[in-house]
Amino acid sequence: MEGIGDLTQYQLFVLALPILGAAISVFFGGIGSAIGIGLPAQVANGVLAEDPDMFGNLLILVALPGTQGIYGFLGAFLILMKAGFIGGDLTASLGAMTMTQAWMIMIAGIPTGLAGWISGINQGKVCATGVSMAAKRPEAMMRAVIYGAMVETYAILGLLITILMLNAITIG
Amino acid sequence: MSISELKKVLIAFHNNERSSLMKHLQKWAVMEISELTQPNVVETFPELTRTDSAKLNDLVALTSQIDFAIGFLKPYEKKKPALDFLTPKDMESTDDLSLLAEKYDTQNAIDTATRLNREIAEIKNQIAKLESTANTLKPWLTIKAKIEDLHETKNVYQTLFMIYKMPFDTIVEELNKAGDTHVITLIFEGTNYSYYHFVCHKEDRAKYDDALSLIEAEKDALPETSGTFKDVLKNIEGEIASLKKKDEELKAEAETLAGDVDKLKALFDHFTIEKEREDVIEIVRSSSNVSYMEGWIPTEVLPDLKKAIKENLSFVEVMEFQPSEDDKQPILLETSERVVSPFQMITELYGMPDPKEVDPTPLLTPFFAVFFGLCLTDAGYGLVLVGLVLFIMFRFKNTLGKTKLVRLLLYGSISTVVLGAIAGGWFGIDITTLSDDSHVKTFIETFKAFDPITDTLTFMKLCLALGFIQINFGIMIRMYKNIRKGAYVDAFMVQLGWIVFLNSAAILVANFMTGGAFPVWATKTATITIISAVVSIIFFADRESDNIIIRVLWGFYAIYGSTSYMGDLLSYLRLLALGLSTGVIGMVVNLLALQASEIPYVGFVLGALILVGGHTFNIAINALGAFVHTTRLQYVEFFSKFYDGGGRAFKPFGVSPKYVLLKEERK
Repeated sequence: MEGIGDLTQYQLFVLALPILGAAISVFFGGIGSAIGIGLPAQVANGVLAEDPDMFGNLLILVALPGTQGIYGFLGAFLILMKAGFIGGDLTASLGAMTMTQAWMIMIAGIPTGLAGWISGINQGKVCATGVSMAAKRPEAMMRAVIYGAMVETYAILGLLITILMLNAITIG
Repeated sequence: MSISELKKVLIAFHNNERSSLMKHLQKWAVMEISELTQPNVVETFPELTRTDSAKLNDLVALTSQIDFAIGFLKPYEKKKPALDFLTPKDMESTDDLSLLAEKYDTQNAIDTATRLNREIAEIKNQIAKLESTANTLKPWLTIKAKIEDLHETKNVYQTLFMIYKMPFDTIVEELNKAGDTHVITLIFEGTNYSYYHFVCHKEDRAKYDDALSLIEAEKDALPETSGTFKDVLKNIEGEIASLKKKDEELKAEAETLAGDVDKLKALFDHFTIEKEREDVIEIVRSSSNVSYMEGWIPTEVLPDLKKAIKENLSFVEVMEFQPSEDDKQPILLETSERVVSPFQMITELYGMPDPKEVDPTPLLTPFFAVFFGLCLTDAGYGLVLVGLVLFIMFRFKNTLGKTKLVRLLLYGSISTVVLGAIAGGWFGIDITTLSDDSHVKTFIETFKAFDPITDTLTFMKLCLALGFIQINFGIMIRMYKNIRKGAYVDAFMVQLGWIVFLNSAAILVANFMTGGAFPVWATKTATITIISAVVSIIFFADRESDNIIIRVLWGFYAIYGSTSYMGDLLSYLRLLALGLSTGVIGMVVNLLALQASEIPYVGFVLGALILVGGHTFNIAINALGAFVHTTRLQYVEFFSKFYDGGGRAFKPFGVSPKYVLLKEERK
């Protein structure tokens, strides 16, 4: 990243857009999972007060809304790779990337971020009620997990579109 | 297909043999006991009554007492070594347990535990009380006078008091206003309270009391003992010390008793098993000499059970009979089908099939294995999982290794190895970073058929194709079910219509996407077939109404339902997203580890930690995702096409020990 001071206003903007896209992806996905894990984890703590042996069983339900954060991270990582910040030659891709492409890369971060944000929170709610259900009927725990996975579908589709969007962009 | 055949049996037996018969049935664990329904028995012997168990209440009390003792002793148990969970439990037989129950003085252990619990709690209370008294005494320690000299005398009133955060001068000022016969001495100044000794003439006491309450002085009651404060405190401390010693003795006693915890756990199971037997007795109907009970038994074990009963008992008669129409048989999925039996857990989780239905387990098995592998697509991770599963299967072959989940994971991980190798995934290694003559690269490329990351479209087409096959397969099963039922119109006009519709549509869409790569005759045929399929569905999808217009309108609505097939198909793209994310996260882990390893001195260790931790995390989170999402595809996309469920699971009367591991004692 030497000589960043020599960049023109235009080049700086081209660089900043993919960064923004990566930030959107990881930030919103992360919020989704942070809230989403928080909800079942609180309920699970209450259950553990009664029966500490449930820890392992409930862990799956608590961890389930964590995927949105990972997808967000993944989307951000793919964006940074596409723009040449990671594992590539930044100077070369800076020369090759057009303003349109920079915008495209930025926008590609939105599906993962927003789908992860909303679905993470809602999956958290499903898992939280799943935890209270599993507390009463431990044998039905996997069913609650499947319901949680219903919500996760849309985070997965968001990530999928981010991947496809990024695949469609060729720099240079 | 693979639903086990069950027989309804009636068992008549002499009351004297009730307990030994129950023991046998429980040991065999093959019979689901139900209410008496057999018409001959019910009508002929209306005098049969419920059997009350004499022992049930005692057993309930005993098990809950043992449970209490186990819970009480838990903190006094010896710490187990950290890797103790890796040692499998020993197997025990019910005879071992009975022997233990005879030899071991259970009541004594329970009594000791109860006594220790009470005494330890009492001592804890006493110590707390004494400690709080000691704390109130501590500020007065500098008073040399004896406590008995601090009471009021004939002419003099004296007291000890404390005041919350008030300067000495203010106090003196207030007291001066009240009179002039007092002496006040500061005994001790704490952070919040200051402690004083106060003396005045008895005649002035009322005035001083008013002044003292004005400045909110809190009078301290003197302890009812003699000697100086120091002496009293010393006594109390001595008492506390002796109580603590007693406490330690009691705890040592508890630790000794905790050595018997394993025995108590085994006994808990022993008496629970006995309790369950007594529970079941309540369902038995009996007269003064004979009892009757009823239940379901798998046909294949019935002869063996009959033989065993004949050999061991003399007045027991087992009769099969035809159950009434509404007496639906419970569902037991065939356990002898070794290959598909692990996948029964997926069916069981959703709900058992109806007795007349097909068992969906063998139908979903190949799809489940393939989809699970696609969600991971990393041969390296697959090998790790295979290793882990095999370890569990051999090390814990009687517990965890026996479960359907573990055996299902074995299939899933083998599929992961195969599909991972085809997609070139090995621990997320990015082969573009390897030199051309590296052995690793040649090895990976030997098996590799396509690259999911650069060739995402191929992967996508693969997922859609698999989904398309499974959806069509689902409709075909519905068609088969209808043919079997004799509902030919549904089968050939509607289900077949949908299959033709979907396949023709697939050809037309593929032709459109490839810009007309298909020959003209193919697209023409597809156009004709799709139109006839639509017409067939419109006219036959709903035949409830006699009014042709209403039927057609509902038919159009059914065609509108074709959008749901679109949604179902797209749902299979989750395989792509999950597969890609496993690979990419693996790559990220490698990249981070590589960068960390460039840090001087600690880099190597840090890199190794990231590598191991990162890949472990990736395997764990994605294996969970693979299981959950593959299951969802079976339930939502596949089962919705044909499966009705609604069966009741077969629950044989047997043992379910909480702590010990029992040998199977069915010969």
